Amino acid sequence: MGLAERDPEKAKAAQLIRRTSMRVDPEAIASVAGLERADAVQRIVNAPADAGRAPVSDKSDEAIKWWLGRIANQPTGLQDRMMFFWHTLIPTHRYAVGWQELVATQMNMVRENALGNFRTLLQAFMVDGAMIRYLNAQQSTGKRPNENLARELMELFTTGVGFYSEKDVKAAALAMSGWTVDKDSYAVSYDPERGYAEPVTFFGQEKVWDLSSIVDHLCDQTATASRIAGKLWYHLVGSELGDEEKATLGIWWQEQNLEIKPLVGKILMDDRFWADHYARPRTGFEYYTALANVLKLDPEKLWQAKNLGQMPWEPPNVGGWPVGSRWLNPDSLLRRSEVIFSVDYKQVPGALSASVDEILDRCGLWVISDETLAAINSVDGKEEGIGAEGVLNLKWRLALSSPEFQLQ
Amino acid sequence: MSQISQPNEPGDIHGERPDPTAQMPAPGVSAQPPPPSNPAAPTTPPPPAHRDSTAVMPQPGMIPAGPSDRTDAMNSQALADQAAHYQASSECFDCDGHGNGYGELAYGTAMDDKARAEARARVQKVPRRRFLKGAAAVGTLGYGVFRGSGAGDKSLISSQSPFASKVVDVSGTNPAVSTANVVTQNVETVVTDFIEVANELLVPAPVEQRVLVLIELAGGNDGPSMIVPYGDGAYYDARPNTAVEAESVLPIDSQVGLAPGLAAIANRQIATVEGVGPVEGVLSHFEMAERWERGDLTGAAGERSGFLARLADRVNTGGSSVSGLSVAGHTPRFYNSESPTLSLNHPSQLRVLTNDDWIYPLYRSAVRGFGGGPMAATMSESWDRLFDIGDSISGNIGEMDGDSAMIQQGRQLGRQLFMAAELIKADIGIKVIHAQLGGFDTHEGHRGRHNQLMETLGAAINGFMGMLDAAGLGNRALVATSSEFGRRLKQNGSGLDHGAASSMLLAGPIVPGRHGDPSPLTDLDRNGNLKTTISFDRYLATLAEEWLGIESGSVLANGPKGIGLF
Repeated sequence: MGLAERDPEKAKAAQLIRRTSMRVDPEAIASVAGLERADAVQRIVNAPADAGRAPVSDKSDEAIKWWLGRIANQPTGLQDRMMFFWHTLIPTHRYAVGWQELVATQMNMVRENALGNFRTLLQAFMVDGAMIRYLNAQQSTGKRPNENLARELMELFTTGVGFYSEKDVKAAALAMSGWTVDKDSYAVSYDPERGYAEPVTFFGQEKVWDLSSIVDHLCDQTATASRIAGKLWYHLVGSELGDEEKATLGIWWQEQNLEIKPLVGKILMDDRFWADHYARPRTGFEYYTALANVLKLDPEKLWQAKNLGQMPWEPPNVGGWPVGSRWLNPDSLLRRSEVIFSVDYKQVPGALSASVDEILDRCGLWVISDETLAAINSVDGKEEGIGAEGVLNLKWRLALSSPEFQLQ
Repeated sequence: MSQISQPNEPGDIHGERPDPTAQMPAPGVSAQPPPPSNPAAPTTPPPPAHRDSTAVMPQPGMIPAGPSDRTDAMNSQALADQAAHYQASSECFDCDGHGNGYGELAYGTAMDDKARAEARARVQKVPRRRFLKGAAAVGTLGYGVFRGSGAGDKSLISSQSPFASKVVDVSGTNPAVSTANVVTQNVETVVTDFIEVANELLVPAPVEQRVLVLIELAGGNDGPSMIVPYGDGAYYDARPNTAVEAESVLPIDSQVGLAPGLAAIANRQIATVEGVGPVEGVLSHFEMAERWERGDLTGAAGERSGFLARLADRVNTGGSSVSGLSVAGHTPRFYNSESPTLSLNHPSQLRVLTNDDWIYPLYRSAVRGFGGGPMAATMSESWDRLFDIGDSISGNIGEMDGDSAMIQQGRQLGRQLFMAAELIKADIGIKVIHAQLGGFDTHEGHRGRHNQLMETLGAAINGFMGMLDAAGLGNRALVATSSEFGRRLKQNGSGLDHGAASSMLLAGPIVPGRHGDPSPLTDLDRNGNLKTTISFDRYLATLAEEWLGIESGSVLANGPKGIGLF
């Protein structure tokens, strides 16, 4: 199955944009086309941060729609890509959070820290109002500690299983207790009356621990740096890094003081980032944002992300969404084709006068297999007596259904 | 018309509340449904039309008119004498030879030895499973002379049932019935009717053909509003203006009955499981819904996949195209399944696979030609599976009858179960189905809203079972409800707050009657909520193990025991 580059420079640029933003459009691709690898990477990594912030209201839909708008318009989009990555790694569910103002507040916190320092980001997450409510920290007191947040902090957000004991979970739950969210101001504060200021033994050290020192200690573990770096590698490159390489990358990242930009830059400079096209499936939200970007979908159609199985701030559980080939299972394909068929291509500017090349350009498909291209070209409607517009309708749907468009 | 919903119709030969305006042709002879052409020959009743809403049980007119039909004409001594006689001449049938599951047949005085022997011989020919079901069904309807032990036991004798007068209590455990309702009957008729009922009841299909349809009643369904404890004063004390009126309840026995909204399924094969709920529950929708989704009783098992996902994996031994189906769109219940699952909101979503307007066939043909690197092969397999499904579905799946009661009254749930029935008929290996009806979070206006929801539920289930019956597949599907929690016993204004234990409803080839253990209304938990008598993971284990044949421990933490429904 021959994948062919329609234009080598655009092919590289498309790969970089596709994997470092939530966009695929020609403008974004043109912005890095023709640059040397190092220059292109620098441009992506060091793009000025977006100062825009989601509106904080009791309707978290509005905040998420605001984000969709930014995704379509930001000059580079690495900030959006990383915001999505952190949300999938450390998710909260907006209905479980309850107070919707907290959702937008968390979005803005993640947006601000998406390319900053991992330690800072994680510290902020642990005293984030939405997280406190999502993982039952609100109810956790020194007298009756709730282990939920402490457990997930270790199992999902830092070292992963195998590096801590149940005793560590209990100790951390005590040390992290006492944080609450005010129901009127939504301010997060620590109440010493509800906390626990006695010594506990955590990772073999008996002393008075608190939330901040627990998070710090976990961030100091190489297991944390390796695990998070490995996850980012998969997210950006699309293939799994071996255990040894993960460890090496983790140690290197620790030396960078867990700064996020250098880690991203290092991954983008790796040959493997550039080698394999279409290494992993687009997840539901990635597919939806790519589609929205190409077709200029109205953010009001956000519910379609739900139909595609990945509504932000509505994860199936605290472990986040699954990754991998399940995004290409029959259910995903049916849902994706349904959205593709629901679009009125007459309403998409220029869509029904485009050539196949223009369709591919607009979809960011600068690398395409002979078979897919042949399949798209195979429909001419002559036998069926279909007019030119009908044929183009079908060509668009095929391009957007193609493996090339469904993969990262 | 459902007979159960018409407790005071003239056919009620017990005559406790006679309708003065009714035109009764003769005392004790039913005027409606149409009287038999020859009331004098009631021993050869027409066979009941199976599953017709008016005819699962024999018609009132089949009961012969006789001097004892009117109990007010009998003095209490005569009743007691007669009761003693029935007791003395009852006979036990030990159907499995182990004392489990038996029926008891009481012989009428009018029966001679020969007729008695014939009746016995005929009853003995009824297979055990059907015997039990028949006994329980007859009992549920308050009609018959059979006492089924075990699951059916509680439900047999009903003094409140409109058919109570036809009950002969041979158990001696219900004095009210045995003295007031013992009537002389032609037992031959009852035996005939019993055998009809027993033989017409659905017996489960072989386990590999069975389908579980779990309907999530989202928002927290109040148990006592669905399975109404109309015989318990505590219920009415706690709910001055949110209770279901006793007169409108469709009795199951003298204690509980179905909500009037469920009239559409009252004469179907249905069962209740009462007292189902959490252990150390909380009052958060999200938390409790998630525990049910994952089959995680306390939320501490750390499950990351849905309970139905694990079931879908375990039942898919033949590598079917799709073993799990959500007809309520994407649901966490199927998250992280290995086996392919499908999620739909509307049948029109299948048109990509089934529609023959020009663009769809061309699309289907073209996507089969896609290339695109190593991962494209995975996609190609998925397309093939989808096209297999499309080939198996009849082209009319998009053509719901919008005027049918299933859609009109069944609303969104009716649409969902329509899709479910069509896909079961397509026979593509679907064994686990998730549906959802929302709106149960009735903090205000509980009575009216809940009644409406029950009508929706009843119409949707009735339509679903009817579709399967018509296709000869009625014995394959078990419909079972779930809900994140019940609601508080004591009302709050016009509504009910979040609670704990609730009742579950099942429909399909099941032993009809009451199961589980009702939560006492006078012994509440510290929040004033109904206490759990059956932890919800045991309920799920029952569905997994006893219905689908999937070992509980392979899909639920700690392998909880089922409650013995099948």
